Amino acid sequence: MRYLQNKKNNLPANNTEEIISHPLETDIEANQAKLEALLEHCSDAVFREFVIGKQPPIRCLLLYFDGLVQRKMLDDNIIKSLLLDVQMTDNPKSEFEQGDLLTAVEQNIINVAELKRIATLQEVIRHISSGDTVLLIDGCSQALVAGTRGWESRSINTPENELVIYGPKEGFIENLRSNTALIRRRLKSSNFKIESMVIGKITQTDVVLCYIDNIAPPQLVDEVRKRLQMIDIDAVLDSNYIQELIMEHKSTIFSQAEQTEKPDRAAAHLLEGRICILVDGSPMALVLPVTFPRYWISPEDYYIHYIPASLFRIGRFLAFLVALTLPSVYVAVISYHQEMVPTALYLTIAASRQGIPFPSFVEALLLELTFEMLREAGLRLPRAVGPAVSIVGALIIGDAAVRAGLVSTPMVVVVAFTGIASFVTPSYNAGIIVRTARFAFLAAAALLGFLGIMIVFIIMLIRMASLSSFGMPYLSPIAPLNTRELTDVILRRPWFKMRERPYQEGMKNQVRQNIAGKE
Amino acid sequence: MKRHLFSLLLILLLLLAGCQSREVNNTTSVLGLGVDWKSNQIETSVQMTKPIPPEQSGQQTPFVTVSTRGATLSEAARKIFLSIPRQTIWAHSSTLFLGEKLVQRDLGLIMDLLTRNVEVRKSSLVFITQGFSTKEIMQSQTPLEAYSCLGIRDLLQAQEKQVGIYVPMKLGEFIYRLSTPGIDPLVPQVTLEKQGDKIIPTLKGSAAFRGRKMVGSLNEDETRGYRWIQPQTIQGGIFIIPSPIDPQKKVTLELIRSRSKTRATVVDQKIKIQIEIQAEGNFYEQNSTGAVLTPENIKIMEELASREISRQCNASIARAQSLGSDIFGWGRQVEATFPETWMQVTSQWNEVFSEVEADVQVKFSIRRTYLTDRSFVFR
Repeated sequence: MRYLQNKKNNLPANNTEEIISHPLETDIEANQAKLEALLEHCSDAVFREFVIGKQPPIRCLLLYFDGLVQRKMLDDNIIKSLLLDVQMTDNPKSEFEQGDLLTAVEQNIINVAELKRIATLQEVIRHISSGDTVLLIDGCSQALVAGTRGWESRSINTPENELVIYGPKEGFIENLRSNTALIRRRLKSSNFKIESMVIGKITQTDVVLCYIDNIAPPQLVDEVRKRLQMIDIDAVLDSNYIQELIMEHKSTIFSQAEQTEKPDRAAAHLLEGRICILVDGSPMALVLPVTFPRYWISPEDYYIHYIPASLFRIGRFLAFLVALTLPSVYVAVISYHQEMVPTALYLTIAASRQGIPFPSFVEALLLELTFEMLREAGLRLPRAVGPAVSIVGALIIGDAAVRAGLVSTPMVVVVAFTGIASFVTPSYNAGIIVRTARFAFLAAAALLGFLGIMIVFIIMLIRMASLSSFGMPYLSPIAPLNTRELTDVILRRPWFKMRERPYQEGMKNQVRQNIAGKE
Repeated sequence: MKRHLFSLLLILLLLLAGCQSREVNNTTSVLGLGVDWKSNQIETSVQMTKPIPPEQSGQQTPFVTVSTRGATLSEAARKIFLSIPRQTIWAHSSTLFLGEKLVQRDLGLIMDLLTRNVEVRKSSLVFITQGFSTKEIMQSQTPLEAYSCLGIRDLLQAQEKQVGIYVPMKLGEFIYRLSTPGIDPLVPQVTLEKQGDKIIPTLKGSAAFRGRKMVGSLNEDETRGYRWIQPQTIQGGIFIIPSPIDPQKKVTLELIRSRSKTRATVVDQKIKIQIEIQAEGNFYEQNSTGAVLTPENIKIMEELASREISRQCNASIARAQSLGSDIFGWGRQVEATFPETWMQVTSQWNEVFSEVEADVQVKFSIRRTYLTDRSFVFR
C-alpha cells in the first residue's frame, strides 16, 4: 500500500520535470493544465482568468505569485487596461485580426515599463518566481511578462555593523536592485558595469558583478566571471556562499575578500579597480581582491582630516598587535621571562596571583573563552535581556571570579583590554582572524614563552605571504614592498597628494587625479 | 612524508630549548643576596618576597630573610632551599651585600661563584656592611619602602642626585676592578642607625680594597673627593663653603655637573698625576643675610668652592694612598699612556701608588641663583 502511495506521489514529480521543458502551446487550456500541475500545492500562486473582447471572447490567464507583485500596478496597468480599454475599442476583433493579437496587447494595451515575450514554461516559472506577472492569451504560443516586482523589504537604513561618525550612513539592504541603485547613484558613468547572472538551481539567485570598465583589470573581471559561471550549487543565500566558492585558497582562516554593508565603501573599492559582487537577498557586498593590510582601513579615514586619520590608523595597527598578542605576551612574561618586567610591577603581579589555583595559561584560556562566549551570547540575546546579561557577565568575570580567587586581577585587565582592542578592527572578517589566531599565540606562549610567540608569528607571516587574492599577494603592499602605496595603508595620504590608484596588475587607468604642475 | 618528519623533528628540537616554565604561584623572587663570615663558615642570607594578596598587605612585612651557613657559598645557598617550599626566581635580585668580616678576611672565598653563576646578576649593586652582619642589615626595615633590599638600593640612587656622596658600584664593575691591575674598587658601606625608636639602614663611608681584601674605609668627606675624580660626568649633589662676607657663616652650593680629566706624566722616572676638574653649580643657600651675590663675591665664592673641592679630592687621595688602594684607576692611566713605565712598576704598583704625586686643579663657576638674585634682607 505504502509502495503504491509512494509511486503515486512520485508520478507527478517525474511529470513536472518533464513538463517544465515544454514550450508554450497555442491552446490556453493545455498551458493552464500544465502550469496547474507544475504549481500544485503552491498556495501563493494566483491564476486569474478572464476574457477580453466580445465576439468572440478571447480567454486570457494572468499568473503571478501573491506577495511578490505590486498589486496596484497589476490592477491599474494590466487588468484594468485589458478589461476596460479593450472593451472601449469599437471592434476589437477586427482590430486584432489585422495584426497579431499579442503585438497589439503588447504595444497598445498594457502600460507597464518592463514588458517582454517568453515562450517556454520554464521561463514562465522563473519570471513569476521573481515577482513578474505572466499573461497568457488564447491562441498565442508566446506569453507576455510584465515587470511588476515589488515586495515588502527593509528600507535603506544605517548599517548595523559598520558604524561611522562622519560620511554617508546608508547601508545595503536585501533587495538587489536597491543595492545596485545605491552604487549607481555614486558612480554616474556608463563605464560602471553591472553584469547580471543567475546562480543557484533552486534559489535562482540574481548575482551581479560590478566593476568600472576603464579601471578594473580586464583579466581580473574575466577571471571572476569565469569562476562565478563555474558555480553549480542548489542555493545561494548570502554573499559568503560566493566568497567561499570562488576563492583560490580555501583552507585558511585568512579571508581573501572583504564584505561590506556600505555602498560608499563599495564605490571606493570599485574606483580603485576592484570588483564588487552583490547577491540578491544579502546586504553584504563582496569586494575583491583585498589584501590583509587593507582590512585596517576604515572608510571614515577618507572623510576626516588626513592627519588625525593617519594617527587613528597607526592606533588601529597597534590595537591589532595588542589584540593578537597581549594575553600571550602576559602569559610568557609571568611564566618564563620574569626579568622582562620592572621589579615593582612584577611584585604586584606576583602578589595578585597568590592562591590562584590555575596556571596562568589555563587562567587566560578560561577568561578568553568566557569573553568569546559573552560576545557570542550578546549577539543572540533578545534586545530586552541583552543589557541584563552583559551586566551579569561583566560582574561575574570582573568581580566575583576575582574575589572568589579563581582568576587574578591583572589577567582580567589583560583580557578586557585585549577584548576592546579586538573591536578596533574595522572589518569583521579581519576581527575573526585576530580572534582565532590569538589562541594559537596563547598556546605557543604557554609552551615556549617568547620563543613560541615568535614561532607562531613567523608561521603566520609565512602562511600569509604564501596566499594571494585573485593574483594579488596577500600581504601587499608590505610584501612585496611598495612604499608609495604604503603611505596610504599605514598612514592616510591627503587627497591633494592622491595622484595614483593602488597598483594592480593590468590596471587600465592608474591616474586618479591630475595634480597641477605635475605630470 | 619526509617533509613532515623534518618539521616534526624541528618542533621537537625547539622543545629542547632551555626555557622552563615557572608559574608565579610556585615561586618566590629573590631581591638581595648577602654573604658574610660567621663562626668560621660562610653565612648566606637571601631576601625573598612573601607575596601577600593586596587585601592583606600592610599588616605584615612582605619579605622573609633566610640565613644558612656552610663551607662554601653554594653549600650555604643550597641549604636555604631545604626550608623554602618554592622555586626561586633570581631575575629581580638587584643587590649584593658583602659582610665586613668576610671582605676583611678574603674575597677569594666567594668571587669565583659570583663571577661564574648565571643567577647572580652582574648589574646588582654591591654594598659592604659596617659594624653589622649582612643578616642584620637585610632583616632591617627601611622607611617608605616595603622591601629593605630595594630600599637600600633606592637610598643609594636617590642620594646621588640630592646629596652627591656615594658612587654606586655594580657587581660587574666590582669584578672588573678586582681582576684588573691598576684599579681597585671602592664600595659604599651600609650600617644601621637609630632614628627615633626605629633602627634603619643608612649609608656610611666606603670600603676600599687592595688585592683580595678590604683594607679600610673612606669617610663621607673622602668619598666626596673620590666622586669628584670620577672620570665620568657627575651630576647633582650639594657642598658647603664658608661665606665670603662672614667666615663664621656658611654658603651652600649645588652642583649641576662636573667633569674631571686625569692625566699621567712621567718626569725623571717619577709618575705624576694631573687632575683637572671643571664644575658648574648654582648658589643654593646662605645661612645668614647679606649681599653675597655681588660680582666680586661670586668670584670669591667660586674660588672658595674650587678650594673646597680640591681639599676634598686631596683628602681622598691621601687616604687612598695611605691605604695603598688605587681606587682612582691611576694604574690604568699610566698603562695607557706609558706602557714601558707600567711594565716596570706593575708588580709593586700598590707601593708606587702611595708615593705618586697628584696635582688637583679645580675650576668652579656659579651659574644661577634660583628664584631671586638678591639676598634676603630684614627691614
